Amino acid sequence: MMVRFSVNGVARELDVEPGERLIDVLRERLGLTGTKEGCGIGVCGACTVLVDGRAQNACLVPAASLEGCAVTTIEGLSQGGLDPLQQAFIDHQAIQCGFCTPGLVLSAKALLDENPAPTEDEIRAAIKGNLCRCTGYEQVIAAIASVAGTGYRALDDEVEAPVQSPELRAGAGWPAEPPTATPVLDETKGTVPSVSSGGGEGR
Amino acid sequence: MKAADYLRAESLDQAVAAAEQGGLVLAGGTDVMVKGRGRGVYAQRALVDVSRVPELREVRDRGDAIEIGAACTLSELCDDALLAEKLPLLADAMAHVGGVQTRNRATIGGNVVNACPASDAIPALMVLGARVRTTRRELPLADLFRDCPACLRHEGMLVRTCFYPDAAAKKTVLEQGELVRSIIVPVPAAGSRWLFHKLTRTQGIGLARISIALLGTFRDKGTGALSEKTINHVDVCMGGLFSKPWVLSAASAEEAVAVLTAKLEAESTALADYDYKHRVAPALLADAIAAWRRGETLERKRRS
Amino acid sequence: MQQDQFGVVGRSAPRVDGYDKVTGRALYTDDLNAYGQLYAGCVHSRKPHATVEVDTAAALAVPGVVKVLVEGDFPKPQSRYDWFYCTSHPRYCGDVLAVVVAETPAALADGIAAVRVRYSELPAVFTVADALAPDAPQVREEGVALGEDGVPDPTRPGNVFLASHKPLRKGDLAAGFAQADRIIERTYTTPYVEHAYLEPESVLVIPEPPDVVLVRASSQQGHGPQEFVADALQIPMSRVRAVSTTVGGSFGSKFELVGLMCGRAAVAMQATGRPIKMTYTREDSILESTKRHPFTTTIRVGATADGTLTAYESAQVENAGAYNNQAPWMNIRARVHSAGPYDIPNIRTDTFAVYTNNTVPGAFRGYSSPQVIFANEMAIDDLADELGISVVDLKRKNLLRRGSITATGQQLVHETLLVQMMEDIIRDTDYERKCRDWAGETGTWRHGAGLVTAYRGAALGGEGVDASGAMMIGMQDGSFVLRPTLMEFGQGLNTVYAQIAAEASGVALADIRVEPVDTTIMADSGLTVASRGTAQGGHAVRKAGEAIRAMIVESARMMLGARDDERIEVRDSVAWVAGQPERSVRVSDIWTMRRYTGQQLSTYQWYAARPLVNDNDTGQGEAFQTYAYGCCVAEVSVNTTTGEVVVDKVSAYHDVGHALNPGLVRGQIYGGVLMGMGFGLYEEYRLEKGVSPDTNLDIYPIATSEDAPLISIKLYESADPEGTYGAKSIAENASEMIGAACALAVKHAIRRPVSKVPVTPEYVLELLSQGEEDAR
Repeated sequence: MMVRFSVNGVARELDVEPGERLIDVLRERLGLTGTKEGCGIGVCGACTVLVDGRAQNACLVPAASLEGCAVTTIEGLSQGGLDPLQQAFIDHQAIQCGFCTPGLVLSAKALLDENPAPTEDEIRAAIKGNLCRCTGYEQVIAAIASVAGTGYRALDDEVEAPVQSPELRAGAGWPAEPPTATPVLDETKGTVPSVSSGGGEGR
Repeated sequence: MKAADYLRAESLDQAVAAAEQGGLVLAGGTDVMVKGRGRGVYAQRALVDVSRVPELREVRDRGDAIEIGAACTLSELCDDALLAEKLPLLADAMAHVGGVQTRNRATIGGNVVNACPASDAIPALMVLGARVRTTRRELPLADLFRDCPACLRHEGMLVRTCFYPDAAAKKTVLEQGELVRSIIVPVPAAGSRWLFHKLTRTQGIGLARISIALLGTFRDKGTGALSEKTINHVDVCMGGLFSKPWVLSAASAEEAVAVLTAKLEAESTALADYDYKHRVAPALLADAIAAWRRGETLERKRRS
Repeated sequence: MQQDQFGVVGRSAPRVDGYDKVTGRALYTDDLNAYGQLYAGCVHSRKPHATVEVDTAAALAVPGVVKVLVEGDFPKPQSRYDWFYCTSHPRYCGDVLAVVVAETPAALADGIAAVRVRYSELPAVFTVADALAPDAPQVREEGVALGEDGVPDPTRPGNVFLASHKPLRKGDLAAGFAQADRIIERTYTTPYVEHAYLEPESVLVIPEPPDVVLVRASSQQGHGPQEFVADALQIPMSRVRAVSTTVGGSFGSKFELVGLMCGRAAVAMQATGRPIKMTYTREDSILESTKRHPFTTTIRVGATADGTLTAYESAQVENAGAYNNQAPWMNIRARVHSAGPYDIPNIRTDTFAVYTNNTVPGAFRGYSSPQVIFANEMAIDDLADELGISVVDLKRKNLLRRGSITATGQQLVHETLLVQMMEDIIRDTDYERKCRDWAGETGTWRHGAGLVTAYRGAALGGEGVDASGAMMIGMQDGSFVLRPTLMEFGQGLNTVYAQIAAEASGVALADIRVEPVDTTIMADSGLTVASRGTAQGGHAVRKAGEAIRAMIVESARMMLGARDDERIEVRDSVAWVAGQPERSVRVSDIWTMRRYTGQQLSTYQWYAARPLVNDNDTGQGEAFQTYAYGCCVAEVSVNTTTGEVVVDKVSAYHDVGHALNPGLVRGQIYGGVLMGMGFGLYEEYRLEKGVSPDTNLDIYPIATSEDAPLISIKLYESADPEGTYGAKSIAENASEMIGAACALAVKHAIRRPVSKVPVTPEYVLELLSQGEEDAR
């Protein structure tokens, strides 16, 4: 059956099967593979797209239902350069394997469009339908909070330098070449191990 | 997902006509699209999309009640100022459904007609004394549901593994071609207090293992001290426990717990995780009533 | 070399793949298509042990179905990694019985549904205890019996996987127990766990005329698909070219199954002459992908009254499932960590796997360590209770320090921060006060804290040969391609490699592009496992960068007319004479010059870690080049009505050696905390007679944004010379302690001994039904 809707601002008129899923239309007919399928049952959120500005799971949307709707996919978010949210995801290391990233970015986009200054709890609630196995969500929330201008603890963590060990503080460093033979603890020098090191040529 | 046809109904008449010819009514599709995946259960059926039928999209203030169109999405209702003011219990219950993506498509009518024992909205609607207006009649919500003992054996009560592709036909008294138009929800009396609690495996997006909707009033002794208030009357509906939604009315916590326990032991021993629920549900109800009396909730945030 | 001498490493450089991933441009395997491709999928066994007859007629009659392959269509049905491409004798629910090939995904689904399978069921065993029973059916012909001394007996048949047995023998166990004032014996169990990476497995196999097979796959291993396809088709590996794609998470699992899928797709390709795409549904993925090995660990440990550990004995027994490719290597690690991060003079442990008709376990982030740490730390905590002393004091007395000899007989020669880190974390979290305050709680919600200390062999160590290659190719415009050989699958390895290459070479980070692993370009560098990528694999990249730097310096010296005693600096793609920045030349000009004067423009470097020697009969020797140390405190609330456990806060302190990209390190820890929490509290892939109800992510729960606790991270850097620029490891360290810490916290909150994970609500209630622990 025929259905007319826009995808990323481009008007589309498509002959779809009854029950054909939006995710299949996007990925297979339109080549918009940024929308990912992670579970197929509307649980993981990897296929999140915006339909008239609202986050929806494209695996549960019949394409035939979209008459007159405006669909935004991840490809549509960066048409005039990166969206600030996308830049924030990069800046705050909010990405690992990236499979959930398009969905998370779009859920965040829908949130900020509706509520420009969400609290931490509101951010967590807005992305709880987007499963991520890699990041633990902290840096994702930091990225969203940075765009919103609301503070977040993981943003503070980013400026905290690692604790330097006593030996590093005493001036020890890291040689370029590791020991080439089993190092032994040198009792005569107290705690300093003697290592046969390559010497760090060229540094 | 395979289906024989797809009709975007423009009017209620059109939707009814298609449903009378055997079409399967679909609103948000958050259940149908999951059940239809892989199993091909709708391959021979036309889908009747009622999500844009104007008659099903209205929220009307009727003074002592609010009439909610069946095709209103849960998100729309969670954001509705009238509901927030008059039916905060219902708004809170619906806010517990899934993630944002699900609430943006799922409808209140779909939630009711799917008649899942683990539904979040049904317990709230039940204690609020909701009525259902169909295209043919008006009836108490409690009378909409048929007894469905098989659901008790269904571990997790997941949409994906639901035994019934056409839940409306199997689990409700709706006849072929009969559609739910709206849910009429009475506004609770002044002075009543509510509580909603959903127990899940993790805090995230899972279905309820046990849910509780409470609504009731206190006998005013005039002392003003909250701890001395006595329960006048409390209605309780619990999800995840019974083969048909059921409201327990009691005048004390002890009575409520005793009635619940007796009913569980009489009717719910087939539950997939009966041992757990038999132990937890009555105790959780006691905790819920205690929290409700104090004007608190059972919610506990993950982060300190 | 101190931190301030580094220009590129040590900073949170943005991910090199960040732009592509936030814009949706990054191509994962299922995003790729080949002209004329067909779609393939698998029919999996629904019975744990049977012989089958497969009737393909109805499936072949489905419009669009092109082929249905059964065992006889495979040149070599059993893979070189033990389990089968296709079999008529399934040994677990998940074995593949047929491969269907169709023109469209819809026809494929119909075809798979139309394959008829007739099962003749065979006897099966599922638990370790059943498999070790004297009359148990033998799952695999190569299985052996267990002797009365708890050691596998190769002379008698049984279900023990002999090659997986890794004994550890140190000191005089009997004498050690004789010195002990208290001895406890406990048994702990852990479950199967699903990796649940967000991207389900996908492979695309393309015939490239005249006779090459191109493989793109969601593989954790760059070279793995090549090996499997050559094996499945029985053709030379030189005729198979694997080019890696963007991989959506792996955590150890996207190796054997993805390889098998590549083999199946290759056979389908050969049978049809067309490209084959095979993408699994989530249900297929959970059914056939590997899981974490379940452990049953029995520990006997003794100490003197003052808490000095004198003897430690354990049996760590794993359910190996029906096929197993990992336990022999995993158990090397499980042996090394078996007695925990403690200085114990007398130790005897045995670690081995037992065949059953259960699902196939494999590698999973930690590679045994979450299971080992759980059992070990629970036992140490139980022992402290038994001794009536604080577990903190017990740890203070026994934790490994510099100079300590580990369980496997290795002296710790490098800086060892563990004790300091523990003192820091108990101070920062107020651990001891909280334990005291919470000990007497009543009421619905109880609180508890759990402290875990751990050491972990960094990188591959004695599990295998840790060697890898890297190539850098310069273009005349000064841009460079870096080709590492270990895989990026989300952890950020390519970003760290670009940083290492930039640091070592002096080429600007922005001028370095990291390309995928291509088997026609790079030599097989082994598996991307064991958190080895940065620490050891980084050395190969460093060497490549240093070789480029040497070329830059040589050419710059000539072009700038610098004397031999003048030093050439290189940074941000500019070379100059030290102290005279006006005497400078751009790397682009250098490479243009080299290009037109016929000089080398590229380098290929290989790095092999120094060899380690240890004795397989005792485990004694040098197990790893070095160790990374961690400690963590989990704080939980437990609802005594519902059994719910809420993790309020996790503090995770890690000695990472040198954080080459602190933002990526933190990302590993945040994610690791949530994964570890699942292991401790709610993740379990359940099997009932070989069949699991846990078939998609609606029933198998992974943490959402609302399940996350407050996470407090502290990174330590230490003077350790082994890893690349001092880096140790973090990916597995980040996750391994958390489950044990959560379990300990629950134990303390409800004052009941916890002997298994996950600590589910049901288990909490079961424990609450028992009497309170006397020792508290």
